Amino acid sequence: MSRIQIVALVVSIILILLIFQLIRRRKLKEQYSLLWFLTVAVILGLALWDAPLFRLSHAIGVAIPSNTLFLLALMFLFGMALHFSLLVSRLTDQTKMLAQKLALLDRDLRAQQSKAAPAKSTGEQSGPESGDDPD
Amino acid sequence: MAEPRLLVVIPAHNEAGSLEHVIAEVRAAVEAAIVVVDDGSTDATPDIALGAGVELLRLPFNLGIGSTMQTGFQFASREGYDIAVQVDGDGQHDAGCIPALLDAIARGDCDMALGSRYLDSAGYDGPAGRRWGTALFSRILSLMLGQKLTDATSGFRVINRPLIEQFARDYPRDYPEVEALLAAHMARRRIREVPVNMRRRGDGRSSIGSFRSVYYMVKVLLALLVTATRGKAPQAD
Repeated sequence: MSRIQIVALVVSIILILLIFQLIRRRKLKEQYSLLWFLTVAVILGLALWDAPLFRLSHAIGVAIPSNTLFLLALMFLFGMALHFSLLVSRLTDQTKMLAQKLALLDRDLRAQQSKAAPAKSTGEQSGPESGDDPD
Repeated sequence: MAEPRLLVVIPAHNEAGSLEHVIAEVRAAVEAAIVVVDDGSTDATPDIALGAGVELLRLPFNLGIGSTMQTGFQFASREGYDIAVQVDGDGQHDAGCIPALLDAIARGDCDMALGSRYLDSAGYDGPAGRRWGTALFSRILSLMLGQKLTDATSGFRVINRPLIEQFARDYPRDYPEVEALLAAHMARRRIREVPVNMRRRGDGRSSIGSFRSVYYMVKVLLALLVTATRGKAPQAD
């Protein structure tokens, strides 16, 4: 086993432990952990058994196999970035809808409260509001 | 038919300095329900709205003018209003012009009455950059809509029920004015410009700075392209 293979092996093991720990602390959703485990598995696989990398490099006409590795890594990261962009777009949309719904419900609640206690005048109205102020 | 129910939507983000005056002006101009949509203000804006006794929708954090207006349209849609008026909370729009906009809708030959600063040269001399950007977008939209528009970036507008429902469902998020015009056109709604007065922003800064304006141009152009490729609604509607 060459020195670089040992380095790759150690790095892979550290990554696996890190991901496992993140799941255990519930910081990483299992859905993503699978993807990252798969990534580490590929790194590990190529560290121990580099024949496919050489064959692939030859097939697509890349002279230096490490460049094939960089290409694959870049494509992978690009895909992840795109995936997260989509995810952020969706979350932004959902957050917006939640905020709008909250504004409408907040108004309805206020309307009900003022109906329930019509004696209270404008001076009181800002009272219950102050509780939900974020800062 | 009964009198159409009218709602004035005032989007406000930190407009404590001008909001009270705007509400008074609107009240003097029209008989209508008023809703202030507070876009996560950190000043006294919501308190002023409550104090003035108008409806208040409070967004928990800043969403931007597009989503703020959409919240107002959602309220109008839910409460069954027939006509929604948009008047900015910064006092830029002269509420005295609202009846003229309403007349255009009442005549029934348009679904949106768009307040224009430049029609009949109502005498507005805003910053040159702003004028130039408005002129550019007005040109582009005029071409796309096959109808002459002079003030595509105006936020002073009145819409009827079909557009209230459409915008409650789907409204552009930031810099919505130009995009919303095209969206209305794609849904086969009719737009009519009406001359209005606008004042220079009294309080606070324009929402669009110099670097931002480049982003604004690119974003709106891209949005126009995307909206255009979505295609027109079927004729039947």
